[in-house]
Amino acid sequence: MIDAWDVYLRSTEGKPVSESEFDLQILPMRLMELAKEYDITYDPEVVIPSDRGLFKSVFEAAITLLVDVGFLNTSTGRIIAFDEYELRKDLRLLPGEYRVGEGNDAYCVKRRDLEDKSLPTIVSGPTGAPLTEEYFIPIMQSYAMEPSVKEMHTATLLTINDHEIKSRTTAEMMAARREITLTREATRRAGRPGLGITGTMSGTTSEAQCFGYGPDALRSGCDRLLVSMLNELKVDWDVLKKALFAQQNNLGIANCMGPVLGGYMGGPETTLIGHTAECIASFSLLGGPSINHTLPNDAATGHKIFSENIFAMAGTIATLAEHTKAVSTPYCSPASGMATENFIYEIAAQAGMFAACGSGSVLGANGSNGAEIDAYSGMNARILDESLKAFLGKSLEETNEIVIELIKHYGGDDVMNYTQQPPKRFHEVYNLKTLKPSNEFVDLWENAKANMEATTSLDFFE
Amino acid sequence: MSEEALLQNVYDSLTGLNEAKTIEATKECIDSGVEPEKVMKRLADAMIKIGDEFNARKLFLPHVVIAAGIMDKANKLVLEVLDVAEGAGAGKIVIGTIEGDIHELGKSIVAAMLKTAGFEVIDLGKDVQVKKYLEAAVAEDADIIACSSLMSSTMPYLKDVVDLRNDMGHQDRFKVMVGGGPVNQTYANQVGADAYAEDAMEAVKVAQKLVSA
Repeated sequence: MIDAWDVYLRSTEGKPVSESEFDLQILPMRLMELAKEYDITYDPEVVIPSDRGLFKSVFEAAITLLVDVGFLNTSTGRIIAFDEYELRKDLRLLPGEYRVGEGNDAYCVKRRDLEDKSLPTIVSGPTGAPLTEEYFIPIMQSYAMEPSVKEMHTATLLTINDHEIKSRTTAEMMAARREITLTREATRRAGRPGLGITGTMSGTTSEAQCFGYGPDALRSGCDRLLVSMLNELKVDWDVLKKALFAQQNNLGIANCMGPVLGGYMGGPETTLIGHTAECIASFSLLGGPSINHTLPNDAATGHKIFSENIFAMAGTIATLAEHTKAVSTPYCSPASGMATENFIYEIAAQAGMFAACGSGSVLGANGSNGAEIDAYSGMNARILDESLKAFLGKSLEETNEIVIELIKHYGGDDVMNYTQQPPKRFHEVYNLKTLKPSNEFVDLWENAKANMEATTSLDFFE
Repeated sequence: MSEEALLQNVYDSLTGLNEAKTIEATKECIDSGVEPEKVMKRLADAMIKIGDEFNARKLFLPHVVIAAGIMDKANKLVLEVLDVAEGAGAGKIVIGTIEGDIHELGKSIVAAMLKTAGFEVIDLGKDVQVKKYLEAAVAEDADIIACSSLMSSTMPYLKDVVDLRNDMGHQDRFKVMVGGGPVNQTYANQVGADAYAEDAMEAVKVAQKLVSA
């Protein structure tokens, strides 16, 4: 990675550029030129690409984009410039794995190849979605009780001491710390006290998020601080401060990125290039060995489950798997709510992409785009795990055919007419004393598996 | 050239995102005596087409923002002829992402769509302090204050905007509309907002309704 002092100097001495010029001219124009130059196109029949030549083109286009455009530090209004050699060197030096947790629950998360036969690691939890204080521990515990889960990802506390959490106040600092200690308590109750934890989600400022680190909270050498970059090739001091804090405290870093499709990065082809570039830059700027990344959000609807979004994400994951040693860690984010039929099909479609394209680990699943309150459970992780397993051994081409069928089933091939199914809440589908899913929820999953087996070449019961 | 051909030039130039040609075509209409209202209508039609193409993913945000900028310039030319104040059309909106929140994209899409519908939009950007909304609304004599929040920890500031407006005695002067990922109608009701919009297209309809109320 680039030395933190060097990042500071580039941020303060780089070329000045206005944010609007960057958003409206510099970035979109170069992206469109590169898509044309490298002949990167989107075909609706190829949602999961398998052309190795495409991955090579995307990788080279992404490196070129970073060298030509750089990253904008919005705090200084200056460009952080990159040198091609240092970008390639940073990728070459990636370890290809990271370690989390301690004691019996310590785990090594490893990168995977395209069409890898090994199962991606499940890193689970509601992944930032809002939970009430009442249900925070039970919901987190339900995830920790799933044996497939090897690391926890925290949620957002909706309130603290029954009060709303306001950014830039001491309340958000306390909430960030509370979120981690409650998650730790949930892992203890599940009998897995050493599970690694990635957070924090309940604060917005760098000081609040870093306050998740401390006694009985995030721990050096065990847990990870989520460091989210800004959309469209940007960072600010808040982002860089979090990265520096984690680097200097030996706290794991989870680079994080949430791209947008239809925004300043344009359509599926250009979003594919731009998102790959963001991921590559994250290793040089932030220093983590993995990238937590969401499927691109659709700019008009906010959903991530459409064919174009899956194409852009699949291409990015595959490019990273083929040309870097990065651990790609995508979020599984269905738009439909927990315990609905579409929710299951949306998870399965994303799982196929993750399994075949080379994701090292997978986050989630949440549901309802992470926007609903208390609408998540450990059963989500179980559905994700079994879906990933069903896709293992499938080629990219086979996966493409199956994923297209699944997308059609939930309506993800029709942006204008897709209907998001509302969720069931945790208390509606879980026994609150045993923290086990209801028969109704389990049956829904079993029936969906049977239906998918009957209509595709997936095998859930092998 | 016929009046229809002149107006079609305006439409084609704007949907083609060509600023120079749009301005030239607008001037040609004015010089040829085409009624200013017809020119504005054709500009608005072009923006509706661009909005539709954005929704259908044929165009993307940079195109919409650039088109809205071109339309602003063309509209100013027409308004000079009409000799009326800018913004006399659909209404005036002060918009921004709420204090502590740096998620700007959704707000920018809403701002662009409001412009396409003929609103005059004063975009305050991101991380906007509560008092800045009110200061801007007073200074601009706005009709609506539109606030976006993407995080549960910045949502409480939405209530502060409503409370400050009410404490200043401006509840009849400015309507407050809210939106953003974690915000919903129930929350909007809780904080006393006048309206909630789920997405950019709905924001336009809601704003039109608020102004006409």
